[in-house]
Amino acid sequence: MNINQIFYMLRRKNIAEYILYMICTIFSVAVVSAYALLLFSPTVMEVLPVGGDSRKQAFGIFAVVCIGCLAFSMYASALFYKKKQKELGIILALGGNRSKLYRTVVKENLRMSLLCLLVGLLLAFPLNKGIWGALSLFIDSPEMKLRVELPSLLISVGIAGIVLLSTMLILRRIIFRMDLLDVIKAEHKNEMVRKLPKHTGLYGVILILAGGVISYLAPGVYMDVFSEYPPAWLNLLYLIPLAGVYLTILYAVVGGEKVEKKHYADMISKSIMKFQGRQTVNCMLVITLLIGGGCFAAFYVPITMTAFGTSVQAKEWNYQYSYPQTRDVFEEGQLEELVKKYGAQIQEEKDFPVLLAAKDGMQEIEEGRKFHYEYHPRMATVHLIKESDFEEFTETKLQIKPDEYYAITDEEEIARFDPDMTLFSNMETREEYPVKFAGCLHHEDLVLENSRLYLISDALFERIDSTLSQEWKETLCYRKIANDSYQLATKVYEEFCRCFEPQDMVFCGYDRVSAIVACEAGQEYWAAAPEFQSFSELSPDSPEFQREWIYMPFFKIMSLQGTLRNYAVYFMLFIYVVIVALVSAWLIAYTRCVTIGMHNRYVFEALEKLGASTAFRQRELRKQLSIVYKTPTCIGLVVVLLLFVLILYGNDGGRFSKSELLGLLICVGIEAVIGAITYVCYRASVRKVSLLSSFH
Amino acid sequence: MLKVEELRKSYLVGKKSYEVLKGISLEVKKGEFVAVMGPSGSGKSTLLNCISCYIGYEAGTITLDGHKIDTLGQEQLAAMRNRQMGFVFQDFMLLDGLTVKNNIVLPAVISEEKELIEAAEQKAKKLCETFGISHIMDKYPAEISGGEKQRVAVARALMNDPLILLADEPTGNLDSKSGRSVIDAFVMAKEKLHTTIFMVTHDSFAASFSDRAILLQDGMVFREMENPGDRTTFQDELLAGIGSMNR
Ligand SMILES: Nc1ncnc2c1ncn2[C@@H]1O[C@H](COP(=O)(O)OP(=O)(O)OP(=O)(O)O)[C@@H](O)[C@H]1O
Ligand SMILES: [Mg+2]
Repeated sequence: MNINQIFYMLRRKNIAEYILYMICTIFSVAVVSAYALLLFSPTVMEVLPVGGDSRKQAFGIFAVVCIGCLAFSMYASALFYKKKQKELGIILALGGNRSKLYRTVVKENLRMSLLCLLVGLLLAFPLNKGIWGALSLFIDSPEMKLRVELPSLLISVGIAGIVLLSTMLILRRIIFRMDLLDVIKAEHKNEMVRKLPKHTGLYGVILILAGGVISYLAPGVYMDVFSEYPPAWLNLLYLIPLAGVYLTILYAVVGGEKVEKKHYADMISKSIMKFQGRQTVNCMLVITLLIGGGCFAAFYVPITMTAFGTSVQAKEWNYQYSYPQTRDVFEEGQLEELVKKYGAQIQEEKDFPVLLAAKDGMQEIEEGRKFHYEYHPRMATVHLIKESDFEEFTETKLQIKPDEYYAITDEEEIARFDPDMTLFSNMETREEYPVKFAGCLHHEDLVLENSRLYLISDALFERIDSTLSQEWKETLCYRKIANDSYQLATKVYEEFCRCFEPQDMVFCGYDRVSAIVACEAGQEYWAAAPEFQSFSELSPDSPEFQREWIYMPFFKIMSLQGTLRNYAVYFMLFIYVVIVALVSAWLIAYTRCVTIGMHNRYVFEALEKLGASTAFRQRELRKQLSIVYKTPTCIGLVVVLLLFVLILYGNDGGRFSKSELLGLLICVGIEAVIGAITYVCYRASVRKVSLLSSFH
Repeated sequence: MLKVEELRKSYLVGKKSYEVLKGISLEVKKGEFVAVMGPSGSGKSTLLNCISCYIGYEAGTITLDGHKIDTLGQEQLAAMRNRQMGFVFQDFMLLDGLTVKNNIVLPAVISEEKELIEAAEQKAKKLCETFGISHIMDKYPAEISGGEKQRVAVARALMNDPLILLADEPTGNLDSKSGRSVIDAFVMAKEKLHTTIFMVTHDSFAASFSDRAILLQDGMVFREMENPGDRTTFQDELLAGIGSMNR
């Protein structure tokens, strides 16, 4: 017989613990691999523009997933070997050689890790396919084929490597630093938590709420006060609500100095908790963060989805496009012919001119981190349409004075507009026209994706129009097409793009007025920088081009498909985070409960010997375990919901739109589901621990 | 066999240092059964832990079979614990995942010596017979009684034929009947296997089976008492000896 056989026997006897440990590792590897496969697949990469925010976000999420899985696996292995610590200690106490023991254990772990890595990697494919397949049921478009890039799996191998390394470190610490005296001493070692002042729980909740609001508002206030971009350290303010979470949990675990009478009722569960307080509190903090993180990711999708889906649906005219009057878009009858070829009919059409002028405004001037605002009479481009066109299009009657303008926005005024303009300028003659804001008008179809329309009187329109060349004029076209199809839309788009010159292929951040003004002042115009030049080389079919092209037409059917696909991708990216975070939270809570149960077996045995009924012991047990679940879940759910309420309230000047309310409602639904699953986990823990403590 | 000279040991609590062993000298001869007694906090466990090399000490020497043990390195210490010392702990310290037989065999496996391992199975059987635990050889620790567990621990301690058997309160966690069976195992080991035994105990009954008792008080040897040959007399003497300590 040799030591490996001894280990084999120990493995056989403790198979359940080994399996749990391996499941945790496999889970981590599978999640990271599936996510990597998904994120780095060309299908997804196309949706996320290079250098764009969404790509950064997605990579950020991936990093979070990696870190989360890493932390989870490390936690699992630390826990696993903590349980094995006594075994290892006995072997050492009997004169085992530390380095030899270390080598044996590492070898055992290496074999397990490799097996887990392999199984995890293999599992990633069906996992990936499964979720993708589920989505394909809802969305069916040719772009939805999932392709995979195998090298992305190297990331999971890397993660597994790091986990292995950390496990080796843990083992090093356990085996080489183990004090044999601790092993042979009979007492249980626990970290006790001090008694807390009376109002700790209240302070905790106040810290969470106040700290949350403060850290959320701080960057804005900082910018107002110092006229400077907020420094990174301002994010440290988020430690305040975190400290609040810690205090609240601590209070929930240990309890404050209570009134004596009440104290007796909780005496047993509180005193048990007091002795395992430190570990339990740390554990619960992690659970809170995981549940909060999971909720945050889970909310992202419904919030953005409700906001976007409604604005596309609200448009009545299913084909909308604009083009410079210097271009010939669709020769006589070309569109009609196309439409007919695809079995569709144009039912209505409206074209009207748009003037491009300059507007005045406060320009943000940056100097390093500092910034200030300076008035500039010609700050940016403004798109103007005339009163009579609007009246004809909307069949309403208006009375606009020659020096007034109206902004056109959607029903809920989500589309931003500028109410502070005082001066329009003709960019060719530099003639100036003082104006003032008269209010806003609502019309879903006149809200354009990449620019805002402003309405002026016919008189002012004619004055500007008469002195402006075609260079500064566009035509805005609306079509209602019956029997529309995706094929028709893509064909029309293709023909539409063909009508443009290479210099028209600029992204929507490029402002002609700003470019000219910057050039005249002898400055570089930021949007003319080389990194933006590559935009013109994009294929018109790429999602990035379609999202940001300045003349991108709106074809309802294409737009719906496109958004659906984009959101499918976002959904996938986020659903992983949700799964990882929540499953980790539940697993950690579950294992914590089992640990608490095992550590306190003797308490329950003593209670039994003292004649406590099973019901009494069950009640004590439930009281204890519910703390582990209830507090983190409540804090996580409430805080994140409040955060979203705050964000949605603040994002458009202190109000909720209908879609935001709908989104929040969905979020509450999601929270209910998370709460329900957490409850199921709680019941499962109670059952497991009852079995361990042999309740009948 | 075992010789302790002028052993001093202090613990640091906060910034203060407390001297727990204040110059202890004692000797245990080959084949002798020595019990160490004394009030709680007198330093019995500390003394044993110094001898087992679980903790270090400031001054004095400990020699086992003519070798000074404080000059040994980590690896040699481990080897010495494995080959020359047998341990019996208060709470048994059996591996729950191994059967009784495999627990007993464990020290041989740890030694990695071919001869020891080859003879281990046979040896385990013999030890089990000696201590009357043959019938539970294939059971797991969770399935046997406390007294049986401790006898398994004694058998395990004797697996590699140690020079000395070190035990700290071996009967501390047992009722008197099980405790008796463990003491019987010690006596059996001494008589049949000529094992040298160094046992720390509270229990004057357990100590009365020894050849000699060393009474500790406040980290010093208070008195040494020889067994006059009759167990009950010796127990009475021990009780009187302990009673005469000023505490
Ligand atoms: N790790 C330690 N740190 C500080 N002081 C210690 C430590 N271990 C023991 N002591 C102190 O040393 C003294 C002797 O302890 P020791 O455990 O040797 O006593 P003992 O004679 O075995 O007592 P008992 O019969 O209760 O087991 C005690 O006063 C104890 O408080
Ligand atoms: Mg002691």
